[in-house]
Amino acid sequence: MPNPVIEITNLSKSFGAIQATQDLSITLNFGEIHALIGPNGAGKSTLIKQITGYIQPDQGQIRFLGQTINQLSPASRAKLGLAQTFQVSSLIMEYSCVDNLLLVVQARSGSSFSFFAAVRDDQKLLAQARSYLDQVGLSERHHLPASALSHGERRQLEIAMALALEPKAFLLDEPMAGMDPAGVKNLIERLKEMRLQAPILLIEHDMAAVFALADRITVLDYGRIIATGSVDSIRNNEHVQTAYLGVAP
Amino acid sequence: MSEKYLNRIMIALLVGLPWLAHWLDEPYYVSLATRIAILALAGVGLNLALGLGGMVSFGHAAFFGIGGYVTGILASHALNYEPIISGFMGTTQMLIIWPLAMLIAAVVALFIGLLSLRTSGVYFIMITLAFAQMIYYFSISWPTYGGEDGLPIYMRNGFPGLNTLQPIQFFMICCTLLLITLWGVSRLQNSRFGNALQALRQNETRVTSIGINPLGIKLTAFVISATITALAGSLFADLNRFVSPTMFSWHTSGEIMIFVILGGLGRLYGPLAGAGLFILCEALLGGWTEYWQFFLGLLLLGVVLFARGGLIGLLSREQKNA
Repeated sequence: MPNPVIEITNLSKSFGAIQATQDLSITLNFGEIHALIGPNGAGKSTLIKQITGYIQPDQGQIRFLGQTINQLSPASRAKLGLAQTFQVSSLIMEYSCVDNLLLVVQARSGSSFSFFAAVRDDQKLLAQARSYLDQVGLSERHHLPASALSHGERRQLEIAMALALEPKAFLLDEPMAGMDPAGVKNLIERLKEMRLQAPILLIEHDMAAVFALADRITVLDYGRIIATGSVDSIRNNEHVQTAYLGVAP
Repeated sequence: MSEKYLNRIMIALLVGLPWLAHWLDEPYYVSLATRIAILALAGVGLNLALGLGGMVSFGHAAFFGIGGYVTGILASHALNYEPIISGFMGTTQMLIIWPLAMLIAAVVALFIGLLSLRTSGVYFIMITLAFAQMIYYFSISWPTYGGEDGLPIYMRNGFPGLNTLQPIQFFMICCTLLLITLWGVSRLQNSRFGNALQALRQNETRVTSIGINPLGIKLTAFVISATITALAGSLFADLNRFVSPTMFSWHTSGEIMIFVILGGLGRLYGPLAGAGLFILCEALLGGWTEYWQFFLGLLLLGVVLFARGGLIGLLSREQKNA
């Protein structure tokens, strides 16, 4: 496994007069959870979108597993092993839970250009899809369409879909948003397990969760890194306290 | 009534009634059923793009017309003994005409799809419409094959072992092609490809983010959809023994879309129900008032407002399972 798994150097992106990303360099190493925090509009989601390929940077390089991926399409990047969850749950709403996962397993295990054999007759594929549903504790809801799930369950299903991709890196955009305390606690445990499988770049506003999980924290403001380091160094950093943690100087 | 049961009844009616009409010596009703089968086939094609893939193509008349004109051009050359290109005299054999019509439509669909699938929503609708209208005006202004007056096919094209001029035999050809296509599309619907296509309709970003390239899937579906509609166009030309630029006009695109929506978007047998209802309205109400389309409009309004599942959804009272 090449290390760092994701390496971003001198990334810049502006939308008109707004600099969403300014000469930003950041890495994600194997085995770690790297948390990305900062006020709304700091450019966190824009950064994720540049990594996943939905937004093209103006300048800079994005390397994944030692390979430059700037020119690759979002689908190719996912195929290489970049899994993401979205800030707002993004599911195939009319599909059942198990069918959502079946689609991921299908995408990972070969071509979608098979026109004749029924995909739901493929027992091996189905068994895999069910196993990921088990992992997040949704097996009892397997037949329900995603649209019938509660907010918390939808987030669980998103995590299961990221897991089913068997990725080399997770990009999680506010996975705790809108979850109840019990759900957050559950998810914290789950992320601790997921980190062993692949490193996690985590955007999160829930500071308790971030402090509990992160190995490293990077703080963004106006598209720039204003601090980066261990949990303790960030907690005690004056800049961060004024810009983000809301402590008066 | 389950959707499956309903589909079987429709097939039984489609196959059975024309034979009844045949025995009662009522060829008009046989040709009416043939029309339904052919237009349903065109709808099955569009339904693949529109119902399963969510691609609102307002230009499927292009493919319907290509099917028709390929048929007309090949037949007219063969009947007049004029080579199309040196050495190729055209043909009056359906078994050669169909694959050629479908192939040419596929090439055109590949080109149109490559350009238009980069857009979505209203822009996709307008671009597909624009391409179809371009071909429409071209067909009007190209005098070689009749221009605005259209191109007659003096004799219906042949099929080995059958007398295609006999209405019931030609009906059976069209009906069989429709049934084979329905079977093929039902397989496709449940395949890996169909799974990805239907997911794309619902959430393109999500499907992309798990590593499926949306353009490849949608373009393939668009091309398959176009070839099916082109096959219907070829049969339509043979049914009327005449092709005209009307086949390319946006009215035709609209009508095919109406079949799909009336019957139920994304329902396998929806286009059959829709085309059946449309043609029966035209035949029955049309005999009573020339403003029959007013009532068709009311019907369409009713379906869109109150019965999103279309006729099939209404009768089967079944939610569409994805």
